[in-house]
Amino acid sequence: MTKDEFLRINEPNVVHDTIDGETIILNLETGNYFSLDGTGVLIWEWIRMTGDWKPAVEKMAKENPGLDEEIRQSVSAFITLLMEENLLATAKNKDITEISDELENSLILAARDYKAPVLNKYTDMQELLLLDPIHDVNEQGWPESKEASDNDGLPTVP
Amino acid sequence: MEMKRPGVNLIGYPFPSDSQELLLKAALFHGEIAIQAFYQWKRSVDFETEMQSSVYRTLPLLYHNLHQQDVDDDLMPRLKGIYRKSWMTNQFLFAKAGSILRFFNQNGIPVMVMKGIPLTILYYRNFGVRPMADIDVLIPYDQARSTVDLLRSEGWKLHEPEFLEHSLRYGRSATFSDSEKTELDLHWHPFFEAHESNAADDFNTLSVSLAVGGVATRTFCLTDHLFHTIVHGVRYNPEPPVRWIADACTLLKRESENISWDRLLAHTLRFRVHLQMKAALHYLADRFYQKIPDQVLRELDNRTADFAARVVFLHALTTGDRNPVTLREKMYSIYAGFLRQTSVQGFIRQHLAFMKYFRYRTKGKPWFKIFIYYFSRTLSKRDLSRA
Repeated sequence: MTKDEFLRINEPNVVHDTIDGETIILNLETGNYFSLDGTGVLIWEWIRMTGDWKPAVEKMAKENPGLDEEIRQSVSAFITLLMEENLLATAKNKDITEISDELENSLILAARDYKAPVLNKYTDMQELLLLDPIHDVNEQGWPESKEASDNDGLPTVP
Repeated sequence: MEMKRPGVNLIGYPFPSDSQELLLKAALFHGEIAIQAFYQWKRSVDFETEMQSSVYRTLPLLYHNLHQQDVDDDLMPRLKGIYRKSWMTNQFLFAKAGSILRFFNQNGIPVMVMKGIPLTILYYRNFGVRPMADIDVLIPYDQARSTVDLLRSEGWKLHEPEFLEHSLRYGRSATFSDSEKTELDLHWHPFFEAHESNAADDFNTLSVSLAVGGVATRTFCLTDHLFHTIVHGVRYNPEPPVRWIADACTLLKRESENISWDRLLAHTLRFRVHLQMKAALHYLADRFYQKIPDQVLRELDNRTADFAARVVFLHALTTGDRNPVTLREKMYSIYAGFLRQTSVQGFIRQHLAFMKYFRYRTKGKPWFKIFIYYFSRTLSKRDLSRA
């Protein structure tokens, strides 16, 4: 991505929805599905609205100067992952939506108690479709087969 | 007219049990009435063992409605998981629907989408709240056979091919699946009652455009969706068909001012389904407080059903889409099925046409005497008065 380019959500191959503070993302080409929460949701939303994640990072770094380098590095790594998974693509132009006060305030609060954004990745859509959604779920409602219930949740990247 | 609401033992009756009604109110209403209904429903069911698939299919809508009202309950994370799964599977289905519609367009087949897909896009406006299992499309009757052949040549597998000829002549649709187990319901009539050759044209005249999976297509107008939802829904089904109520309430809630009640009544009379419509609209008004114009209800109340309409309605309530088991049920289903789809008018002409149909169905088998015996028992005055 050059400095003249924007990022965009890689629609129509990628579809997404945010429910109850969690963004779920589906790559229709690969069948992989993903979830974001916390800082990841805010960065994703910022990119959706502006196509440029760097102002968001600078806003967070300014709010928490003690962790500014960690914030820059972790968000940059997060963006790289989103690109590698083809969830984001570059664009020459972008219709920029004005950032809401709510999103800005949420970003500032997230910076004060900073947790690096995480992309949770699930690769087995067939497993999702076959699992019993009443019983084979963990406390967050994510599918979890009986065999996997002893593990510490589902695979996480990184 | 208050519809009788049976208990949970009468699974399949097209009107919900008390428990199912609570679930629907919790999923559809706002404010205290929804929240009270949710907790009453939760107390009335065992979530671990009693979630039949039709009830389960209402849970994403329940989650969405409760979440919008900030309900905090220990069931919410699991409901959220069900919503999430519904959203994901629907997304794949919509993408697949787009590629199927593109295929139809490329082959010059005029097509309309029906049921879940247009209801989701135009009225629910949320991809997660209405889980779907298949893709429903409507094509012109005169292209039915060639489209069946085309789909088969493309590798789509026809379910129950032995019934194809009968379905093309007397049915309304055929079901296909592909190597990815996507189910496609190819309709050439929008419902059984619309068996007249120009019925689909009626639904085409006010059709509206929409995009599915990025492909432009068409679907029924709001009024025709409401009509279809009720006619299709008010039937006994092994899977309690509670979803028609959620669909009807969503259609009425979204744009009730745009419903053409005159058009709905005209369809109702033309397709002889006024008993179904009367039962459904009274039920929606009485139990779900939907604003149905008094004039419409009065018009339906004042109509007298003819013999065929009463037979079809009684069959819809008692047997409907359940596979008949006994010979009596089979005969009754053949008879009611014929009356449901025929456009022939008048008792004598209808029954002459039925004799011809019955000979075709039995292919000369000596069942006629057996049929007459069961026919006379089934259509006793006592049974018909229940309709």
